[in-house]
Amino acid sequence: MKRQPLIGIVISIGLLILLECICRLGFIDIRFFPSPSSVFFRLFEILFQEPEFKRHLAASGDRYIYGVVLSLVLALPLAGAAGLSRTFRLFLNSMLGVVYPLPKSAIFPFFLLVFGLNNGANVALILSGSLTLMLTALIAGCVRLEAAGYFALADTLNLSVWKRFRFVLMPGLLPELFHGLKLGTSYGLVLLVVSEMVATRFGIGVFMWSAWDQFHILDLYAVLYLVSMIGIFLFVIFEAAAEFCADAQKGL
Amino acid sequence: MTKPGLEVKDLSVTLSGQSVLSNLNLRIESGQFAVLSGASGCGKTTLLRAIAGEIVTPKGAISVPMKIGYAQQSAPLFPWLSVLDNLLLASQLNKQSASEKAVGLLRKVGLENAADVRPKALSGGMRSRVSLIRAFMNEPKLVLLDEPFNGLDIQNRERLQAITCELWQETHTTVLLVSHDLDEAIRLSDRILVLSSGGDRFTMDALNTISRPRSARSIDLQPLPEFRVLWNQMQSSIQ
Repeated sequence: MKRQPLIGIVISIGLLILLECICRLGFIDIRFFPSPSSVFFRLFEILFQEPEFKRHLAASGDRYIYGVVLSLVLALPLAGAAGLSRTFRLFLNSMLGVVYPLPKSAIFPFFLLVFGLNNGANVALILSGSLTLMLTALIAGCVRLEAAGYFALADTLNLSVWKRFRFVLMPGLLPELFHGLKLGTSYGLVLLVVSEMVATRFGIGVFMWSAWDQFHILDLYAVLYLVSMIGIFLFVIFEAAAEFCADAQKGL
Repeated sequence: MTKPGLEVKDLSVTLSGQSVLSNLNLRIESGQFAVLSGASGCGKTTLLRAIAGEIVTPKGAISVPMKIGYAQQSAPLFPWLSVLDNLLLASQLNKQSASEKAVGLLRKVGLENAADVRPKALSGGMRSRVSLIRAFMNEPKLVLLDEPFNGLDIQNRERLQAITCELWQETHTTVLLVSHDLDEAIRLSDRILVLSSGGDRFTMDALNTISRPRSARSIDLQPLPEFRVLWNQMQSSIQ
């Protein structure tokens, strides 16, 4: 693993240590800003001693995995088509231009209208956010491959559509695919929590909302830390994978 | 009249608003080894790219066989594929025959041990060799070579030139090689063409009558009167 993704973890740990010191020295009100050690202690408690939280976690996990996996399943063939056809790439880019600036949480009522008060609306919201980011990254990859002359080389070699997709586009787009996953999974987490604060009975968003409602500050922070840790883990893994693939493609 | 290996009629190419080739005509007989030379920027690479189909040519007609091999100047390879896979990708033969052919060609250019390495690990000269043999992988009827020996040291250059000749003789294909090197042009060619700086005609179109097999070293051919005539003719045509 390269040094760069690890720096994020080191900085996060450093900030937690700093916050712990500030709390212990009494510089801030720990009723509103609890120390990281107490938050971690509470997190372990709710993770291992409260079965109700596992239901929240399982419900969120399902929605998140469906949303992200569906994004990936849709992004790959769309990016493939964008790599094979310049016209389709321009069309897809224009569509992204329209969809990208829309605040995804603002279109959640539309999904509620279409899918009703069930998981479909939550999954659709996660899908809309991560798919947009994954496609944006993958289209940038198509432009990079074209500028580097790999599409022209494929033309010269008279490659079939399948060979272009399998041997040029998919391996060539790996750095951008992992970059898109890094962005898409992080944004997916944001949308998961936002969507669960409305219209669901179980989920970490519900848990956070109810913690705020009942003034269980420590519970609120515990879930925030959990979401952050999942986010950092995914970010570091996909960043490292993207760097590894980009490094393997250097030099030509 | 026999079917030509390559025919270009009234070809005009404009790139970024600038006319590069204008009403150019060219016919190369099947199985002929032609060398195309000319001053820098006269449109030699553009002509090759147009023939290879890399450039859309709204004006003129290009008649080429179905199977073309093309070794570009920059010797591009797919960096995520091994050397062997780069060669296999270019082939339309079945996997077994293609593998045998690729390994044979790698052995011919002294890269049999590099079959499984990624292009990143190859030197510029090694990449040129891979790009060159890839052009011959698909049993092409026409091979386009754009300065494939550029940047090589003298030993590798002469070795690769000899291999190119061998491959051409084995496959009986038509070859169009772009080169700035006068010695190289005379040593390899059946026919030498020099493109005018306006890209509208050939200022030299001469058959090379030096008998084959020829020495792989220029120094052995230089005393021949035919060599000197062609060399002087090329020199003045390029100028």
